[in-house]
Amino acid sequence: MPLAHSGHWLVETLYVVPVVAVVMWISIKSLLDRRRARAELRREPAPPE
Amino acid sequence: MTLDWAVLAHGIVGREDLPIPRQWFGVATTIVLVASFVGLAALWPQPRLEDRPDRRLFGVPRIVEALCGAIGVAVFGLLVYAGLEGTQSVPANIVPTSVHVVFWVGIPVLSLLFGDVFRAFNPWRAVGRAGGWLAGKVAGGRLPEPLPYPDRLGWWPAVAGIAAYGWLENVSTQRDDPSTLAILALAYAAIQLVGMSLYGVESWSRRGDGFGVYFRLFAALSPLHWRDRALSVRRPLSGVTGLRPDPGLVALVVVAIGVTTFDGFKEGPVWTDVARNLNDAWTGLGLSAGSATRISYTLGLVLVLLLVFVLYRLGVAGMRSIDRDRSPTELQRAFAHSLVPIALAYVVAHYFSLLAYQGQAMAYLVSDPLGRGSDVFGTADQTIDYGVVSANGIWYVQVGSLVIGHVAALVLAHDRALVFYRDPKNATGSQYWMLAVMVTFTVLGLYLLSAGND
Repeated sequence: MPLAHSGHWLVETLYVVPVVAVVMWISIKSLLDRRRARAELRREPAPPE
Repeated sequence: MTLDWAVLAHGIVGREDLPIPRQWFGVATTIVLVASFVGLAALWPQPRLEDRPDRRLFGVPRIVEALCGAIGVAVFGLLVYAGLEGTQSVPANIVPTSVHVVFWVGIPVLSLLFGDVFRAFNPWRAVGRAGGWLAGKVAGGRLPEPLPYPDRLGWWPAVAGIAAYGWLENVSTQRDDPSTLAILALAYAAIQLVGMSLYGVESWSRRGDGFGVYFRLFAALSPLHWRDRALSVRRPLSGVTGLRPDPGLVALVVVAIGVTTFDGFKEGPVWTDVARNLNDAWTGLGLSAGSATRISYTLGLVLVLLLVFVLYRLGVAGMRSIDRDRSPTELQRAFAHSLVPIALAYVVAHYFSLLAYQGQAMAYLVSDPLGRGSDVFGTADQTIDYGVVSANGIWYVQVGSLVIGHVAALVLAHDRALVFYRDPKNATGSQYWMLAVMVTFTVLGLYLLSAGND
């Protein structure tokens, strides 16, 4: 019985695909933004004493 | 005999061939949302909705307002009478269709189109105002001032009212009984009159009257705005930015979305399986079948409300990655207004077919409201024309409302972010996770529509 329903469930999981894609895109973008911010912070010259 | 609201709500006829499979509409709507998000980032650098200038169109005399209130009271009285004295056959009595279709679904749509029209016809507000006026005359103007509305009460009385209706609609087996609906309507009106007598008619109506507040949420999206007996025009969506971020605001929008979400979810195969297992567990503990069903459905409703809240809270948590200075509570209240278009989109998407089909029943029900064979307006022989909208037409309205509602939500959230963060780059950055939340809500809405059709 569960096997008979598996095709149906598989088709239904297609609904999740766009959500997963957007979450992955945002996660990667956030990660890259954070790395870029850290790199910029490192490049900034130290303030004169 | 009961009406099968679920069948009507999801479209009674089989869907014709769509150009793409239903699941792919999720991908298409996501593309629209992402494109809108990018477009907002590039083309919307200043807040535009926070100032709410309006242009007065025309005023109406005081007598019109009194007349509208009197009509509201008369209709309310007639419906209560029909519920108590009319036939208890659900399709033949005017009350179930009036409450669940015209009132719950029709007024939100009217509110979007014409502003807060319900306020003028609100029967308990009209009775409260008339009672106050009469008492003032009798007491010679020496009536004590109402108590100040407690800030900590905020929107919570309205939340309780909407949640109670949501429970009735989704859980109670007596949701369609005309006499039950009439008694509940009287009880609701009595509670409102007590609230108004304690805190003043306008103070209570603004935040305590669940239905009044619910309809005003959607009216706030409208370009038409009623104030001081005059109709004004303003920017669409701008009205909702004026929602007071008081306690209970987040709960209010979460409940508004959640009750419709659960109504869709409970018709699908997933909930059917879960409910069956839960019911078995409760009956195994010795509960009756009726009690077991009520507990399972109440649990399901509460869990769906929690899910909606958690989703929104995740979007707020994403904002905190940009803004550590503001507390999550402050942020979630400040952006709660952006969920209002989603709540309306869910109502339209979920109930459009109900409104289009069962709404027509009002044509014959007004002629025979008690279901006793009368024909007051000569329309008692009218029938429902199921060909008025095609199945595909319904589907496109449903998808269209979901897309428009979520794009509107993105616009509102982006505009508020610009107020908070000034720099458009930071404002956009703060909304990445809110975009993910909007996409999730859209796809969830599409899934619920299709689940009900399986």
